Amino acid sequence: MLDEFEDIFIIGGTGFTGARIVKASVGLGKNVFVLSRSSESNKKIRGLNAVPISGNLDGNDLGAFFDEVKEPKSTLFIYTASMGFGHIEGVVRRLESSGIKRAIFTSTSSIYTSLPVSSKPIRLKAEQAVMSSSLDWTIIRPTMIYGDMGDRNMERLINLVNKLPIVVLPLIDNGAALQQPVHVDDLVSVILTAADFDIAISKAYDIGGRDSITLKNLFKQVSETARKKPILVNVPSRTAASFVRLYAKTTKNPKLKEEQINRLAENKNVDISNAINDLNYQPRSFYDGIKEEFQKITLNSNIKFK
Amino acid sequence: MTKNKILIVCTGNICRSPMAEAFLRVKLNDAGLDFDISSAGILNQDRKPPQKAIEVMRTFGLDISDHSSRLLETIDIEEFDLIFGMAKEHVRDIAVLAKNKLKHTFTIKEFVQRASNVGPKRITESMDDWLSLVVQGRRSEELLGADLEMDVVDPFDKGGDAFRDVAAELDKITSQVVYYLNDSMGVD
Repeated sequence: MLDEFEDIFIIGGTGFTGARIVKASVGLGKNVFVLSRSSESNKKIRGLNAVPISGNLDGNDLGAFFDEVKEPKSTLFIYTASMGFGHIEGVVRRLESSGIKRAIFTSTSSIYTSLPVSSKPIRLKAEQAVMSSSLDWTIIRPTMIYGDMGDRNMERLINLVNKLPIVVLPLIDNGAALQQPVHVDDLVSVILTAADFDIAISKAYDIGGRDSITLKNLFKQVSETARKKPILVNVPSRTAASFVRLYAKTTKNPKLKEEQINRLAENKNVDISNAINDLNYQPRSFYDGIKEEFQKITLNSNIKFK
Repeated sequence: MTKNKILIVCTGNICRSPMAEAFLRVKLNDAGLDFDISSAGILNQDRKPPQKAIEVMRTFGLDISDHSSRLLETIDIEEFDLIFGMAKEHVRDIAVLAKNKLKHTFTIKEFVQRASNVGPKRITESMDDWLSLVVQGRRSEELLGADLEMDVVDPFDKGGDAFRDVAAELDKITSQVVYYLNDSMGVD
């Protein structure tokens, strides 16, 4: 159970979700140890009152990370770095020899994509390595993550909508594809809560937000939060993909890939009923989550309010 | 005898926490209890409360127009005996800055609910001993996520009704907080 774990070891603790897992874990009074590959990361980790341990997943240099484990039985391990780079097999081997049993791995619902994404077979192989291990594992597969400042998805959209006097947003294939964005705090909660339930051992959970909404409605809700009425322009995915292909060929460091356009046209909703039943998962609505993010962005900025 | 110190924390320290601070200060004073009350937020500083918050509090006879937001990071949390967050995320934020204060930190609604299980502080009881009883049995996962039951909803950037609702809620909760802190209520 979560209260039995005094120490939490985290790999991927400096990313958007990872840093919030570190913060929440420290906030629960746990001793938190985080794999760190730079002095900049060390500073960030120490700022959250956690302990950085030097190492680097690239090249399987886990350094002294697992040597720091004092009481394996009262230690929880959380992996929240990408499972798409082929590191997992090495991590699982080191975990097994460390004596830690309980481990939570954060994967992604993008493993369900029907597109020929190069990382998909790596991710599936990584999940398989976890599933065939001797660990008490749980895999959490979040869909699009948003919420709080610094999220790569919604904050950009909020800032864009906020700045423009007239909001014109392109909608791939009429924005009919279903999305189910999950608020990062709900994701962090379910990752830590999974450690509290034995029923979650040897199970994988798909995690999305409460609502499954079309991309069109998602754009509308974000715009409404900023009290703007957007003009939505339909762009067929084939046209957009051709444009982006051309852009990628003629640009040195393209910021947009064809794959991202195709992903926007794909349904990304997931079935969260197992998490609701097993883990008492109660995610917030997208409207509440985006409103909260908007509040924080406004509070943290120099925008004047009434 | 040193005064007990209470800190109230919310996100921006311009709506919920200064409103709660104003209610609590006047109610503790009315009850003859000598506490130091202050508030802080996790985002931004030197900001004034929104006009709607000031106007709503005036209907309760309280003036928060001179309030200016303070950052939680800039204050010494160690000196506070009791800390209230308006939401669970604030409790976790406080624990990140001062882990040993977790047992002295509650959402304000959680505090009232837990205090009702142990009864008001007794005159012979230290604040620390009484809070140990209040916090007893709290499990880690109770502090995770957000909880409409235990969080005071942020009225920021919402309509005047939201501010009125929050003020009414804080008026009621702070009365309950004072009841449990009033050691003349405790039975020895």
